[in-house]
Amino acid sequence: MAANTQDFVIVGAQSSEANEHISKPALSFWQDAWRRLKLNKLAVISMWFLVLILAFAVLSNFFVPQKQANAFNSDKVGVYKNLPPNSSLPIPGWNGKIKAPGDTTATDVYESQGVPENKKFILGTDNIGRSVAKRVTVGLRISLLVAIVATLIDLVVGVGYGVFSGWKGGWVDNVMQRIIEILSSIPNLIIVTMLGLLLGGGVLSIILAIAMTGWLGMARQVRNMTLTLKERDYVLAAKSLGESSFKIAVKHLIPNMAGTIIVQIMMTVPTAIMFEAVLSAINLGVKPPTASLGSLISDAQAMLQFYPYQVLIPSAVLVLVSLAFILLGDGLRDAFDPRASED
Amino acid sequence: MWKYILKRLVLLIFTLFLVITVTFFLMQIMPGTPFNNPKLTPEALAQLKTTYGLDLPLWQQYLNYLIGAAHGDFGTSFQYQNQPVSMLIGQRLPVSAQLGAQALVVGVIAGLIMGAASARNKNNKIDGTLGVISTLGISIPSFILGIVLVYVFGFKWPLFPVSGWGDSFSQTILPTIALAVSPAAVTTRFVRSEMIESLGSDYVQLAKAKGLSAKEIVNQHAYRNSMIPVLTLIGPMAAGLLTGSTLIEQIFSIPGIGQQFVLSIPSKDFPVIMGTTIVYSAMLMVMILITDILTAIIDPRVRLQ
Repeated sequence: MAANTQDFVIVGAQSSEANEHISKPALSFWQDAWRRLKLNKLAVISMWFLVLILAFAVLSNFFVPQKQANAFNSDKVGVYKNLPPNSSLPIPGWNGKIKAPGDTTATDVYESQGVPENKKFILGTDNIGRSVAKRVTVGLRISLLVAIVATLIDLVVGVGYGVFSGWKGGWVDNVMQRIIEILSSIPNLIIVTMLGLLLGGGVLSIILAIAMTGWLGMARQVRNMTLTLKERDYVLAAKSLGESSFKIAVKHLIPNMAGTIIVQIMMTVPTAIMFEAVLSAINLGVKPPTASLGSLISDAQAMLQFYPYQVLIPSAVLVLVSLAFILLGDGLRDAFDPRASED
Repeated sequence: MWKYILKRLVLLIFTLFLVITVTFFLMQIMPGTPFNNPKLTPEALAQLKTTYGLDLPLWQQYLNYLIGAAHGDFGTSFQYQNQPVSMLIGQRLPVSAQLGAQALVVGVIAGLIMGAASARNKNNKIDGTLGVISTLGISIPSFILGIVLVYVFGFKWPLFPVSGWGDSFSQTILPTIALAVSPAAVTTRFVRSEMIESLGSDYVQLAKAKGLSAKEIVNQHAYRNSMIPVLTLIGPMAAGLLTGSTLIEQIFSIPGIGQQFVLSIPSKDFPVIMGTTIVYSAMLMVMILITDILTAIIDPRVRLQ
């Protein structure tokens, strides 16, 4: 009998190393999300694009001040107005020549308006001779500023409201949810317009108006997450250890829904940029001569037929920025919630 | 069911009442008046105020407005003298409604087709292309799309008229496309994820096991079951089209309610602003209520409390 037991060898029990070797390194939630995000090329490109755009918006403060972009020489409007984009290279359609409707050949507007040789405007000029490149730079700055501040307000109000409502529960939650329901049954445009009218336009009023309408979605999602999270054992443990509600919210609830919150923010930013543009288009946006992407688009719209670049350049910038935010948001959603992604 | 509808209706009327109250008092504190013409003598100004009932105490004005609104009377426009707001809205609402309905139908149908195509070709080239298109559709605001359409199809290749309304159907094509793209993109994404989910579900597995063809499965099982969630999208979308068309109406000079709203802002035509606000909110609420009820009727799993 003794010999028989010798015949059996227990596989894999020779060393604890072989037994407990884990082939993948242990990753925290954030590391795992970051790893998955990196797999999504479009999201990574969008992220770097946005980093560059943000850096550009901040750094351009030094070499394109707001004042310089707004100023124009009233004596030389005739010389500098409505110049087409000129890259100083012989690229077709980007050489300072423009084909007027009805004409067959393109004319060099720089020559015909008598612009000095060394003056080239890479994105052209507007109807009073201001550089479109500079206007778009400061416009982008204002649009991003509006979007980011409005989003921060959304974040504070929306998350705070949602956590409070979900955590309290009962009639408090009921009343708070009815308030959200009522507010969301008024079209956003109306609220934004009302506030714009009341506050009389300008950057601050736009930020407030957008923030007022943006937090509803965030509050709803955060409240739903809070309702499920507050039943979890770790919250119960924290409660029984005598942790205050505020600390539980900050230390346990909010970190656990960070993914949802970040994804929601990525969707809020482009919405805010678009709303700013809409407000500017109905004359409730930034006040001239200040430029935002929206006001640039709506101001130049009347001249679309003759100087399309004045409309299309700021439009393209606006679309690219919101596209990048949306793509990054999509990537983050898949990264934070692997079950939602299809691979 | 009836109890639920009744409850929702009560909430709806209460919300409308709140909207009317808030807009009424907001208008009172708005800076500026439409009567700041320096040529107006104090007597003429007093005369104007009496005509519009602005000399009464505030609470009486408010009560009058509430009673009027309950009867569908939203006061008289300042801008177009002696024109009742309800008449102005009544003239322009059908135009906006037609445009919105066209865009909604085109958008939803396009979205259903593209979403289903995307889900059936999951993760291959067709899906990828449609994904790019729908992401673009979401990130391009309708007014920018409108401008680009005017430029390309109005000026570069003049295929369609770029403004006006009511002379020919071709005038409605560009604004309809501009408005339909975003609903189409949203529907595409939604249908795609719903359909992928239903294609992976047990009843589809069963249908496969029974030997049904892929086409039959998609048409008879997956499509129907992904249709129900799409319904919930339509309500807010329809309301979004209404407000979204504000700018589109301006770009294409379409005499709709949105254009009137925009025009009434700089001229401080408060009765028109108020009336439009109330109509917009009422439509949004009614549309969301209708979609909720329809969803409950079509999907027996949804129980209305």
